[in-house]
Amino acid sequence: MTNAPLRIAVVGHTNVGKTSLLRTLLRDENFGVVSSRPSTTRHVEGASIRAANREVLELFDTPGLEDSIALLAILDELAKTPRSDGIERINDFLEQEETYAVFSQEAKVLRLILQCDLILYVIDAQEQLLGKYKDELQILGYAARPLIPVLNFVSQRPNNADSWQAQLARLNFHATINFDSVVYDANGEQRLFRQMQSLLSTHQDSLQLLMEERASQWLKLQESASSVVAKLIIDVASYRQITQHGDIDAAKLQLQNQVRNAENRCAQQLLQLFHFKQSELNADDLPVQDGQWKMDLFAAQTLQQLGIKISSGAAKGAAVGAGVDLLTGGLSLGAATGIGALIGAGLSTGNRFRKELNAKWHRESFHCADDTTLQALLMRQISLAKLLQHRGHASQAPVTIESKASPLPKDWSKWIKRCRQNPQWSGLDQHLFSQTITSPQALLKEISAALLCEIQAENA
Amino acid sequence: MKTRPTFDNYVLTEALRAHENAQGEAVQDSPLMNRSLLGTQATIEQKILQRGRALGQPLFGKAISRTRYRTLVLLTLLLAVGVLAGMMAAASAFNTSREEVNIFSLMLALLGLNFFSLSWWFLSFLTTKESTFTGGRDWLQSIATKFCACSSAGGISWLQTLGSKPVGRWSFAVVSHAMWLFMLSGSLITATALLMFRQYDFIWETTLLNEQTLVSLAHALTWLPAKLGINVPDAATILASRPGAAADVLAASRQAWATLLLIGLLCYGIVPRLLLLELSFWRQGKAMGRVELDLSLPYYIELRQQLSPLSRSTGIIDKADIKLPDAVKLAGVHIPLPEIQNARYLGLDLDQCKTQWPPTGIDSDANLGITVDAQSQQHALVNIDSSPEQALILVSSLLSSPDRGMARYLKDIQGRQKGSLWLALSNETQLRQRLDDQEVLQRIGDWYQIAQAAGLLPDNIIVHEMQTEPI
Repeated sequence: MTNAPLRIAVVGHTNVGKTSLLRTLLRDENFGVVSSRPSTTRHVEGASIRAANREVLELFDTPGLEDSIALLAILDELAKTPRSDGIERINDFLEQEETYAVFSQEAKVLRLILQCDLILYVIDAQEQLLGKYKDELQILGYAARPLIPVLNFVSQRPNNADSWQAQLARLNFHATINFDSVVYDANGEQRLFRQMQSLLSTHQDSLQLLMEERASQWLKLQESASSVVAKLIIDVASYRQITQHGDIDAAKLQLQNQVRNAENRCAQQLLQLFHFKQSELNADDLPVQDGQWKMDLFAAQTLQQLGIKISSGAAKGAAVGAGVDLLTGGLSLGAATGIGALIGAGLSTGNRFRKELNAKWHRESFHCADDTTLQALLMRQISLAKLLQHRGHASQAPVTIESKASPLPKDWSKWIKRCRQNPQWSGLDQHLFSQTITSPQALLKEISAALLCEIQAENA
Repeated sequence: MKTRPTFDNYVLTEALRAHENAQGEAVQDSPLMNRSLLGTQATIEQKILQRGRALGQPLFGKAISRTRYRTLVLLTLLLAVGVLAGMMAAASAFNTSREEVNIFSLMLALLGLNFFSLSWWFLSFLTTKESTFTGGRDWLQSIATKFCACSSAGGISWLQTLGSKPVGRWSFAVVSHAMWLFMLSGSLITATALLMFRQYDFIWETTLLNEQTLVSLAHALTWLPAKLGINVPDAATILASRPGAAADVLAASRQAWATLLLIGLLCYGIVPRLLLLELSFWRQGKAMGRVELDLSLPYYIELRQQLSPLSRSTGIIDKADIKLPDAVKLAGVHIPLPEIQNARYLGLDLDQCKTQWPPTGIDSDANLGITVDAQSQQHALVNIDSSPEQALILVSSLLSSPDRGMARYLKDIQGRQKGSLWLALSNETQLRQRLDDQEVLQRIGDWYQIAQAAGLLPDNIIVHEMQTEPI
């Protein structure tokens, strides 16, 4: 067992997505430069992945191999004695590097792989297995390092992944892994690490640590995302706006703005959680731009897309629900424990009822976000969370969001009812810490748990 | 290994969280602090706590101790009110127009409510889980907002931590048991004073209840004091203490009843509450050591990204020798392939499974095949070398990006070709499904670049959809 980080060279033909793969593995969309042009990366750049507080993997991005056919011919020519092995051939080549200046990119790769423990050979699964790729594999084989072929862009259709798998096996490469750098798959990543484990027994423990840490972090991330959405639902559902009579339109507008802002804040938080910079997401990628949704929440089209039926009473678009006047039966005595708690409950609920009676007296009315709005909010945020967790950090091609109607959690109406009865829970326009003090932890946990299942559920 | 924060450290960290969340940005000293923690060998929890202590102490230390002080004052006041309330309850219970007092109604007045609330506490304790417990929280928080006037995150976090899982139910228990303890003590003081300096006759009476039940109840009440060796009313005394009993009978039982009353207050009220208070204090202390940061909160996830980043770039270790050439600007590439007499066709790296080769309308004499590897390239070159002057049309797919290997091959062909040489770039439609317009133009430009470098005439490089797709 060793404590030194496992050194991995990420190599492959030019423009197969080596830097993209690294970005996704590193969860860092700033690593290197990615473009659809060949030979974008012309240097060797390193990055390390940590687990349990130490560096476990050291990965190196390399320039693409471009002319393996000629290089292989040179390497074989350099084999002066038939006994000289692959490493000797590579060393001979590197010694005479100046003679072959045109192969400076390949020289960088060869120099690097001799210092690494493992090679990840990245393949564009949309390509066919041409002679130049076979020659690349043969050259890499000269370095006598374990090699894992990684099929990139497997989620693009059509692709040749199956034929690659079969032909690689004929060339004696059996450890092939599908790992798309654009469409992220947490399980695929785990499979990659397991494959490394099976090839390198000396790094088994540290890879195990890494896999466990990544898995637990992934779960934490999902939990966090669901609690962010749950908080939004509680904030909006329990929000109440008091208006004087006759000023209902202005109130609606104000309420809509509040809800829009809250939704955008939530989207922003989700982007941040999944390590996506808001500025880098451009128009085609996501329906969210600069943390703001491109399609307005209150547009009728949004609702149609989400499959929410607009009830006959409501106007077109998600109308803000009618005012909820005096609430009855809002006292939650069940929570009060003991005399002391009764006093406490009396203090807060009494206060609330006083306000409501007061409002009634002054002919004011309350406005809340209606059920349609809340459903739309929920579905949009859930789809965003789902989308983000499958988005690779190298994603540049457009990803279409499937605004499929997700079924409402079964306790949905119960939650909304509870929220509506507790306007003090809303953190929408309360400043500083008032929200932290009143937010209902138990309900938040309950909603988060239900949403977590929703987020984890794979799209059929 | 799990790290458990100390209570104060936890409060400071949570206060900092509330503060930074509300401000929407990290505090001023944060970047410096985060950088210094980045290199240290500690778990993420330890790092977060260390950051919380270092940044939180100057911000919230004072507020927390102020809140603690105010809460103590408030509790003291509450307890004082409790003592007074207990005294008044006892005084009013003894305050009858007659000198005879009903022993059962007196007991009920002094201990009944206590018994009721104690049962409720037990019941709720047994039925509610720690995680769903909310009673104490609401209560403490109401007090916090009403009386401690804490607009500081520090004070609120302190109170909130005391009031929520896992400490909350025990904090609530401490306050509620202490309150009752002081009320009962107040009652005991008043009762003792009244019994010392005034004279009461103890009787019991009932209209509705079964007399035997009351007698058994009285017996039951005397059981524990009797075990402790205290002189309590015996069976005969209990039966005799009825309204209208002879004065000497009542006089004889006075002391025994008074003792029972005071000892009962102690045994059934004060001592159990005292024990429970002790227990709650102890459990509260234990629970304070069990507080745990919820690292799945978005705030902590973001902090983790800063303090223990998953990955880190280690920089460029082998510098580039050449720069990526600038993209070529193209105009008018879509010229149809002109009618070329007697041309031959050669496919470059075309997908043999997905391509129909030769293209439609090309007869086999004009077909030089597809080259996919070193051997076939070599074969084609020999073929071109040995053939007379004749036009050659190379067909390649825009789906693959050009590389230096291709550039070399084109150059080799150009050197051997005697007639005109054309390059038809195919599959543009398919490429447009993968890339956007800009990227497609760039791809075509890259092909242009290598073809021109190989010596092909610019006019002979053409984007042309060859009829090579299977029908």
